[in-house]
Amino acid sequence: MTDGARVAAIDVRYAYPDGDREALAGASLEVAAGEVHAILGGNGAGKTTLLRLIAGLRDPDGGRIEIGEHAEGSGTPVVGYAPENPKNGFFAESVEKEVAFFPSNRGLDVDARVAAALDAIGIGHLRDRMPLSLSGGEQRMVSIASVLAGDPAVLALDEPTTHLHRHGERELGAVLTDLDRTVVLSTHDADFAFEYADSVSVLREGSVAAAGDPRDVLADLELLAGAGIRAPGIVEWADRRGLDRVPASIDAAADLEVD
Amino acid sequence: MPVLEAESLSVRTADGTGLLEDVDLAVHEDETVLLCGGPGTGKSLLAKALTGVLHRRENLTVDGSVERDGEVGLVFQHPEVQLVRRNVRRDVAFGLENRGVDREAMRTRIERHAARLDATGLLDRNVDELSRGETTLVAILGVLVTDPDVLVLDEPLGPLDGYNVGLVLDAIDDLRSRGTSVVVAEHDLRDLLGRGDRVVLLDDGRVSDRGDPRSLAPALRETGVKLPFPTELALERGARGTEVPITTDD
Repeated sequence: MTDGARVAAIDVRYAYPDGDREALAGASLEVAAGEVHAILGGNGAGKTTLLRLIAGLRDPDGGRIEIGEHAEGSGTPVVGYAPENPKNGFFAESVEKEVAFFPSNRGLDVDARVAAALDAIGIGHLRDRMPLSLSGGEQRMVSIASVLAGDPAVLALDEPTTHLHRHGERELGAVLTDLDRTVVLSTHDADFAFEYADSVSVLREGSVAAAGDPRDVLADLELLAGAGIRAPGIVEWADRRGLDRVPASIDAAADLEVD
Repeated sequence: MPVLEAESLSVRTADGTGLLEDVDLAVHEDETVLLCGGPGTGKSLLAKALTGVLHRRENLTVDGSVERDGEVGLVFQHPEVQLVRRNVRRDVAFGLENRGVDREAMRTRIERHAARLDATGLLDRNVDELSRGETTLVAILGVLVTDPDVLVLDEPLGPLDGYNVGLVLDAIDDLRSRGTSVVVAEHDLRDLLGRGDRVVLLDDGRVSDRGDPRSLAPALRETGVKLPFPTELALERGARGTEVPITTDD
C-alpha cells in the first residue's frame, strides 16, 4: 500500500489534433500527497484533458506533469484513471474479474488486491455480479475499485459524481476521504467539492483561474459564475443571508439562528 | 383529458424479473411531472416506457397500456446515442425530415429553436466535437424542433455545468409557459423541485408515493434525491408541510 504521491501540473499546454484552440493553455496545479483534490470547471474547460495528462494517457505539448518528486516516466508512481462513463472501461462478466484486471497486469497478488479494493470501496457483496447489470452508482464504485486494485499512488477520477444520488455521493465522498491515496477528480459539482475535497482548482478556458481551500475558492460567486460553475447550495444560501463566513456543513448551518 | 396516460404498466425481463410493476400515471396538458427515486428504482425505465421506445426491445416484455394524445419527445440519459448524423444542423433536421417538413420551414424552425436554447453557434459543428453539455443541448434541440406536446427528459442535468443547466432550465420554463407537458426523470431536483406540479416517487419498480413537491420533500430526501439547499436545511431542522421551501430563492 502507498500513501499517495504529490501531483503537479506545471504550465501545461495541450491541443487536440482536430481542435480549433488549445484545450489547456498553461494550466498549473499542485496537489499534496494524500489529498482529495477537485478540478472544477464548466463543460469544455479542459478538466478531462488535464486529468488524462495527469494519468499519462496523453503527453502535454508544453509544460510538464510531475507525479511524486519526479517528472513522469519509468519508475514514477502509478496513476489509475477511471473514465466519466464507467461502462466505457468494463469488459469482464463479473465484478471480481473486472477488479482483477489491473493487479493481474501488474504482477501483483491478485486475490489480496481484489479483496482489499472491494473492501475499501465497500462492494464485496457485488463480487459475482455482472458489471453492466449494476446501477449507475454501483458501476461507479466498481470502476474505482478496479483502478484501486492496481495499487496506484494516485487515482484520477473523471466526473465521478455524474448520475449519483445523494446517498451515492456520500458513500463516494466517505470512500475517497478514507483512502490512503492521492485523489484528483474532475467535476462540475461544486456541492460535492465543497463537502469532500481538501483542495480545489477552478479551470477556465484551459488555465487555472483560482486554487486553494474549497471554503474560500467556492465562496467566490463571481469566480464561479465566470467559470460556468453552479455555486454550492450552502454558499448561495449564506450569500442571500449576508453571512460573512459560509458554514462548513448543513449541520453547522442548522445550528445558526438564521432562517 | 391526459396527454399521456399509463394504466397497469409493467415491464419485465426475458426471465420474468419485474422492472416496473403495475404503474398508473396520467400527465395532463400544461403539467410538469417529476419521476424520482433511488438508484435502480425504475424512474428512467418508466420515462422510456411512457414514450413507447421499450416496445421495440426484444429482451423486455411490456404489459398494460400507454395512451398518448399528441407528439411525445424523449431526450435520453446518454443523449449521444440519439445523435445520428455528423453535422449538428443535419442531425437536428432528422426528426423534421421524417415528418415531411419542407426545407424552408425546417430551416426556420431549427434557427428559431436554436436561438431559444442559445445553441445557434452549435448548428454548424460536428456532433463528435461537442462537449457533454453541448451534446445534451443538441439532443433537446432535436426534439424541440418537432414541437412535442409532451417532452420526456431522462436525467438531463447530470453532465451539465451551471451555464448549461441554466439553458436547459430556460428551455423547460419556455415549454411550460407555452402549455407543453414536461416529464423529467431525475435524482437531482436542486433546480427542478419548484418547477414540478407533481412528484411521482418510485421504489423497486412501483409507485410508492405521489403528490405535490412540498409534501413529498421528506420522502424524497429519505431516498437520496438531491434537493435545493433551503429545502434540505428546513427538513434537517424538522420543518414539514407548508413550512418547507422548494426553491433556492425561498
